[in-house]
Amino acid sequence: MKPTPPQNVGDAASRPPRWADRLLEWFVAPHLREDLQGDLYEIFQKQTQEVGLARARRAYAWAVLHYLTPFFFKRKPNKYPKRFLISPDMIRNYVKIALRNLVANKAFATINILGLSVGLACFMLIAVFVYDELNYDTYAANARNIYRIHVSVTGNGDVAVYPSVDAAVGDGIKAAFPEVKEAARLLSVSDFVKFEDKQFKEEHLAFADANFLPLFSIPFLEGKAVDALKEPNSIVITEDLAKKYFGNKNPLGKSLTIGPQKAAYKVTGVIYKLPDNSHFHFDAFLSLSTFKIPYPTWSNVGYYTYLELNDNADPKKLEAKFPQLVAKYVVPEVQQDMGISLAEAQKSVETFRFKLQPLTEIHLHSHTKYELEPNGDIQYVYIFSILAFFILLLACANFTNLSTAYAARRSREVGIRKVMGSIKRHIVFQFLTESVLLTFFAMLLAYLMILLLLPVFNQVTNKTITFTFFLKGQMLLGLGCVSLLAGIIAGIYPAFFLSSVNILKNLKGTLSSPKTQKKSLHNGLIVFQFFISTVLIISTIVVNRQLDYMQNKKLGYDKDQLLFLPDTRALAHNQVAFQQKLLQHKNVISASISRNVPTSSIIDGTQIFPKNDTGNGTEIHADIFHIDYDYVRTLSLTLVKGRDFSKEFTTDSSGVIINESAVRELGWNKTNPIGKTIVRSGQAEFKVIGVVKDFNYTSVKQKIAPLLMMLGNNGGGLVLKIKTNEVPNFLADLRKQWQAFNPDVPLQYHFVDEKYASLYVAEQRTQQLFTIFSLLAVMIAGLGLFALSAFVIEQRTKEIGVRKVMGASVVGIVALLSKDFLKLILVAIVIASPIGWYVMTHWLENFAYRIEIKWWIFALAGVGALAIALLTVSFQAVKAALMNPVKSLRSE
Amino acid sequence: MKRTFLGEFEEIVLLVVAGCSEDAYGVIIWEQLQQQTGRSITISAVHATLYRLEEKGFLSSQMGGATAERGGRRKRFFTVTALGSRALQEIQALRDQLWKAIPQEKLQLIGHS
Repeated sequence: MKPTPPQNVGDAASRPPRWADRLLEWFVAPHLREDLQGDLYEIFQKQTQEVGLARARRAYAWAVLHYLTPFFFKRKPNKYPKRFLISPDMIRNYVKIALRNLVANKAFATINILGLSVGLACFMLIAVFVYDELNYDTYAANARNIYRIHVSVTGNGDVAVYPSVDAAVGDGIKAAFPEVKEAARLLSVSDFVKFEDKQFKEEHLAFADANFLPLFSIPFLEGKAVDALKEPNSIVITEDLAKKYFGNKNPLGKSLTIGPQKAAYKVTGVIYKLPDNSHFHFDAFLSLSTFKIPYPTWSNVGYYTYLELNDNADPKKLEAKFPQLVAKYVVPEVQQDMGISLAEAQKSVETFRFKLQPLTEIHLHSHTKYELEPNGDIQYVYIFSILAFFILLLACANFTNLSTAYAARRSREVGIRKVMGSIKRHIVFQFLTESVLLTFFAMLLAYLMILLLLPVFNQVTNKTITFTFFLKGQMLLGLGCVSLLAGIIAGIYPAFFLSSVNILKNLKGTLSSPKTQKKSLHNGLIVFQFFISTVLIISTIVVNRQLDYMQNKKLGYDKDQLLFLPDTRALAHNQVAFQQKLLQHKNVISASISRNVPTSSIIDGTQIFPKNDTGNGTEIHADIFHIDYDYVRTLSLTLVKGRDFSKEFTTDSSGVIINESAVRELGWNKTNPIGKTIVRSGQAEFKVIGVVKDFNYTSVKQKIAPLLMMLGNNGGGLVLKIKTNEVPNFLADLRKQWQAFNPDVPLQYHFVDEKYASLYVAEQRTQQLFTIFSLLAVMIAGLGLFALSAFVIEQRTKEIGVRKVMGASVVGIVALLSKDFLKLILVAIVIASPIGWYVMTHWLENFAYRIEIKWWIFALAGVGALAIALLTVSFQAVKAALMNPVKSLRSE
Repeated sequence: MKRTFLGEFEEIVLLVVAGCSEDAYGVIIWEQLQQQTGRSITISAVHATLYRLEEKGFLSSQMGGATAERGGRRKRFFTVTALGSRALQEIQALRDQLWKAIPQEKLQLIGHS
């Protein structure tokens, strides 16, 4: 049994209050504490005897409270001053020494600051880009309750998604489900707008329901949002448009005439320019009530329809209720259109699905063929976020590497400091101060860079970010934190490493010998930097090749000197005469009346199914081109089977030319499609007379869809194939010819190859951004290597001198010095190749038509990385090798 | 003549320390003070004055004499320094001088015999 220690039971109780004692001990200066507390205890004991414990305790506490004055708190100045870590004097000293060090090592400081500021600037710019992308469509007051209705149609294994629905859908849904608060429709158009003698073609017009503008909280400069679009033939225009047509006059109440029919629209409101972060940018909204739609239908597309739900509505649950509407409204329409049995039409419930797309996700997540504007891509947001992170990491790695290398030089300083009484924390703080100071300078420089680069950045990313964005408190705070953190991360290793070494070692300077542990860190960081650089080089090459490939791919038609006039409908019945007139021009090879041209986004579509001997095949979706007899020739399409339309066959009006994709999807692969019958909605039957080779009439990103080309109904546009070296002359002739027909609207035209290039604007931006940032990343890595090799070689000056004296050649020395670095680069390349391959394979999956990643891309990237490394290292190595050995031996 | 800065309370404390028959430390001085003056004085005021007087060089101190009732803590014994005695003497001299300067008839008015 354990002996119990003697206990004085009354002891604890007869003590003064614990809290008072604690308070006293904490508050009163240590040099007064002992006798003071002793006195108090003595008094307490006496009083316990005289007046009892309780009162004594109270008196004690009361007495203690009297000591809470500055006099007793003030600590006695120590005979040996305390080594304050963060006193103003010390901080001043840290900063002074840090500044002196920076000035003493100008080259080092410059490279370090430059590298880091490039890194920070890149990081900030990308951060802004990402922030902007993530904040699309947030301007509407109820943005998070607004959804756009999509419809996805499944056919033959493919799913076609449309971001718009039919006219009746929005109101139908609103009527059926109480959780839907609002439904607003939008119809995007482009047309001629005229006021007095001013007439322009406006590409960005939209018919919209009266509640559309309030739904999106679009602020009005003039007029009222609520009823601006109520009346038929009303129009709401932007400030810019108002200026364009009305100058300084007040546009309210004036009329604009629109379209060749010269319909008059009264201006009922003026709005500000739509926010940059909107997924549509229309210049004018026209009242949709202008159209009387007698029998609105459900099964077509075209109306971009937005719903506002109640706060507590669950979009998923609402989505799940849509099939009942499909069964009620869509099925009968399909049955009637296609002339099929009810059972057959019932399938639509499965294949025809309405979906809700949250408004704020449209910009980054909706990638259908029929967007209002080219959208962004969440993938790029990810890619660029990663890129920003890596560039920052790269810059930090650089910073750490250089700081460590140069800090090692100061081993003696650290030793002396320790001898003079520095404690570890002092030295850590000294180094941290220096690196934080460096990052602070780097941040200032980064701001300067941003100021200079912002216009270029805006141009490349097609954004309008102003410099004031970077001066917002939030942004400054965030970036200050990032910089501070980067400084601390970068400075922490040298700080702790140097401060923890033995004083003797510090003083001997043995740290600088190449055989210390920090070498592995240096090597690791170099490998890391070049690993990232190589991945970026590989990605850049692949992205560039893919884009080249897309722009130079054999498209299946000849886009050179192909001209498209989108507005010949203004000529009405004179279109053919105009075509004939043009054909007489010596430079015109061929002309075809058709409003369908590759690169145009306006494409008709329909559901079709093949009529086979054994019965009807599965239904598929096909695009339609309305053409004339000259179309195939004008576009230089290749007929694989059958023949072109010809005036000699009167039956050709019910004939159709299809593309190879259509043949495949209709299941006619193994048979001869010529002479077979296709049925489209309305039970119209068409006989296949020819098959053209697949041609890319949309972006190469998309797979070529099944296509029907048929005669008639083709007016409205004109495709022109010319052959001339003097394009301006020809265009002048064309304009003259146009005016001769007195069309009342100005001539519009564009070259198909230019339009084609514009399809890849988003990709080109990505390409440019990627190239720029990769270059910068490589530059940062190069800078780091440059400085580090300079440092390492400098340390071997004596060795080089001795080697030269003993007869080493310049080449030999250069090889010796470069070898170590190149090994590291090789390791980096070996690690980078598979990862680069994986990442880029993933990226390429976005494209229907893509390049293969060949081995030479890796070789090229590797050689590139090696070349950069060799160039930076050998510059230093050659300098060292050429040095006079007398000098180098004397050094130190 | 160099002026000595001594407040009234300081002067009394200094006098009490000087007049203590035994070794003077906080509790004794406090008790003496209350007895002599009849005022109620907080111990903290006494401590503050003692330390201040020591800082000014009128008192010196020495640690010693721990007892159980003090929780094993030592006492701080105060003794009047040479500077302290001189200051007391100067004050007394000044007082005497001032007393002497009072005319006889006024002295009677104050009630001094």
